[in-house]
Amino acid sequence: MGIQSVATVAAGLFSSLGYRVRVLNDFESRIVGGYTFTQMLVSTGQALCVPSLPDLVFCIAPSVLPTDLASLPAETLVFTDTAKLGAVPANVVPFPASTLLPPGQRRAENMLYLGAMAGILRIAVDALAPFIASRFARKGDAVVQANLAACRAGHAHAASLAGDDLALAQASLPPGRALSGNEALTLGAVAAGVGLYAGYPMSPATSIMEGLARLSAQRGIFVEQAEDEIAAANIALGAAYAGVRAMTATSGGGLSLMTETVSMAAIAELPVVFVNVQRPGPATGLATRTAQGDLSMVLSMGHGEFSRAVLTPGTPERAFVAAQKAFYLAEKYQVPVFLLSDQHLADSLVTCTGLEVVPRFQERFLKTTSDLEEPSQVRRYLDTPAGVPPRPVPGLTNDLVVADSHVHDELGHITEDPEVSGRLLARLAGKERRMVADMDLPEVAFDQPASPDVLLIGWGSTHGALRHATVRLRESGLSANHLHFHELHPLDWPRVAEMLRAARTTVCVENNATGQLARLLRSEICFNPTHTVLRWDGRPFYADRLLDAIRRLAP
Amino acid sequence: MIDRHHMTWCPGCGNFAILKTAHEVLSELLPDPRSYVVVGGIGQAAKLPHYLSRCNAFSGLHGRATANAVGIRLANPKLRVILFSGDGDLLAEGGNHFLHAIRRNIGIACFLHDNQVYGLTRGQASPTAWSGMSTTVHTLGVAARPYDPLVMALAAGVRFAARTTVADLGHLRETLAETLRFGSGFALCQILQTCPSFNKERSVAWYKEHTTALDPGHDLADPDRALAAARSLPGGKIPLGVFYRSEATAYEQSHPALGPQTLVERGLAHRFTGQDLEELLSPEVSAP
Repeated sequence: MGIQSVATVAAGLFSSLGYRVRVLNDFESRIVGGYTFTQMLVSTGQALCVPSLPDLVFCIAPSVLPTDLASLPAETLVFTDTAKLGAVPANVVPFPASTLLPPGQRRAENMLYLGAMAGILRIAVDALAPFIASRFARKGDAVVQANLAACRAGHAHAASLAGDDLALAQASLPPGRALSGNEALTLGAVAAGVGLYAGYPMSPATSIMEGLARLSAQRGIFVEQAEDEIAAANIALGAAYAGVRAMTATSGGGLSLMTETVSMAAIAELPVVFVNVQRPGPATGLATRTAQGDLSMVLSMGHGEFSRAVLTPGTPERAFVAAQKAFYLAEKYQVPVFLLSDQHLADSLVTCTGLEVVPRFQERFLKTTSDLEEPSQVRRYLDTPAGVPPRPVPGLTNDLVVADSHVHDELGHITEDPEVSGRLLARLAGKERRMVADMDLPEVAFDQPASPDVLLIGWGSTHGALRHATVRLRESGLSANHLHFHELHPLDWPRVAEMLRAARTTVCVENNATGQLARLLRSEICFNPTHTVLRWDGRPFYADRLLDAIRRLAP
Repeated sequence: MIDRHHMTWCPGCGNFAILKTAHEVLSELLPDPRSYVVVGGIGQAAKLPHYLSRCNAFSGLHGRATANAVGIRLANPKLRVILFSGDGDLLAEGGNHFLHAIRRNIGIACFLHDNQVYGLTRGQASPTAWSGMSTTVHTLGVAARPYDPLVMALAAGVRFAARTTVADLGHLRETLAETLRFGSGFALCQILQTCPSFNKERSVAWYKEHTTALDPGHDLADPDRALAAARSLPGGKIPLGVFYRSEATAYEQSHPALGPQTLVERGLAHRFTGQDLEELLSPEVSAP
């Protein structure tokens, strides 16, 4: 994880200085070693999408250099341990890393490179100190000091190199904070008042469970590592029945195991938030890679017909709000809610400046008073004009509460009466129509043009890549806009159709092989995007390559 | 209890005796029906929560009742959580949850209706079916050995283990009460039960003849003796009684997230502002 420590510290530093940062973490499904790299974009403006080729390379393992050097442009500067290289290639900076480190401090080598990065970019070394101290505080002062010393050594060496070509321009934006999608989503759940989280470890969702566990004692959040995903979902369901905001997070394989419980949440009208941090499938797929392959799955999973919501935030800030809204929708409508993220959103660090706490999303919609004089089973499944029955908290009042997986009567007891069944199933299916009023239409990037020549369409984690491409197309004089779905179900589809039909050419961009959003647009509104740009090899879109792909399609 | 006319159990089903006894014992020991939730899964036994009628009830998916019970108990430890379900639900479909609820030692009183067959799907073998039992599926006899829930539970470290039968209503009543009185975590009570439709061999008469009281001198606090006793067949008969009882800290009593306030109470009082967010973010580094 050496290189990721560098990126985490650097992202925090640059964000706090008013730069905008985006960090891609690329790693193999193993614990130590392997070919791991991190790409960081630092900008004085927006940092929307990382380009495929860097200006600066820091390579802790010189053994991988021969492969990587061949693909780099001649002007890219490379820092690696030149003490270990025979001949030093043209674009490699003299940097004898192993001789610069104080003896016995090999483990701090990554901070040597962080220092070098700050040095070559002409960032004062003192600015780094608090970030290093924070990162290593848990490991004790000796470790903090060793890392600080390594950082200073690297900085001194790089700062002494001639030329200010790479000096960063002064940042003028307000300071921000670098957060990953999983961190933002976790904080959103805390803001929403999650009471119980039950889960089973699965990449790339695990850091949500770990993040909540760190806050568990302080915030009174129960984190249960269940025996399997089926248990996790059912523990959350039990807690929801008892009146607690409950969630689980997993990836596609784990969510597959929860399928039956989603259906149960629907018929028992119990609010549970299911987070799916997608990775490529089928089956075990690519454990630490990214994909948008489970949209069709969450739109239809669970046997029977029932209402659900699907949220697909495109940025960490949106993930923070989506986590709050997921609980709100789940409790307001008593439905299962899916929050779709993916490895790209989950593990990428992005400078965040506006994390919005939405007090409205903390409303509970619970029934906490009773008209009954004696304890008695209450009409938990009463049909009301609002289309959502009252949800009393068991144990709180004289209302005795029944939940049931069968088709049931108003009290919650098993029935096979056709009229009662019909009424119940109509309610379960019909909630979606009411929910539309609470759902956000897709975000349109620019007010003008309302009828663009080219409209880029996406959902979820591709937001930055599409926004970047749109900006570039506009800069080149094209009439372009970007429409992004941060929420996908249910929606006011006729309105969406109007938005889409205003464009001359539409390009639907997705991180999957079959164009699942494009298929949804066809099935919901008979809208066929002019083009699709798809990537399904487990990697995210890079700025330049996506732009090239779109330019080849668009007029 | 609701009237028999509205129940879907067969005439002569052992569940009637369990329901009646449970109703009486609950009324006596937990007179306030707001103080507990009765949980069941799927199967004929798992319908019992529906038939008690004056209680909180959670009737879940097949096999998942134990996991639901865990969630309810964690959310609100002020509620007693009482589980009634069958051998198929708890041991086959839900076997993993059963073992892990015991491993946690979470406060659930678990009543396992054991009639060795699946009634609702019309007579297939359950995990407790004896070797050689002939069913619609096992036409040549069940080849596997039966799963002994008490032995499994004791091996997994359960803190309370008892066995009783519907063939002895006095013993049934006493054992249900003993199980409910246990307050130190997971309590298992296996109830040997009749199924007049699909298991005609194990009638009330058969159980009367083939069961016997556990040795009155049995040491309740010794887990090894409990395990040996659970496996034993003194005089060829199945012993009944409380095999093991050991005080312990229940799972929900030791977690730092569960203080004097329940998760439900905390949730109802939850307010979160931008200030709270700042505090959450502040332990990390702010701008130098």
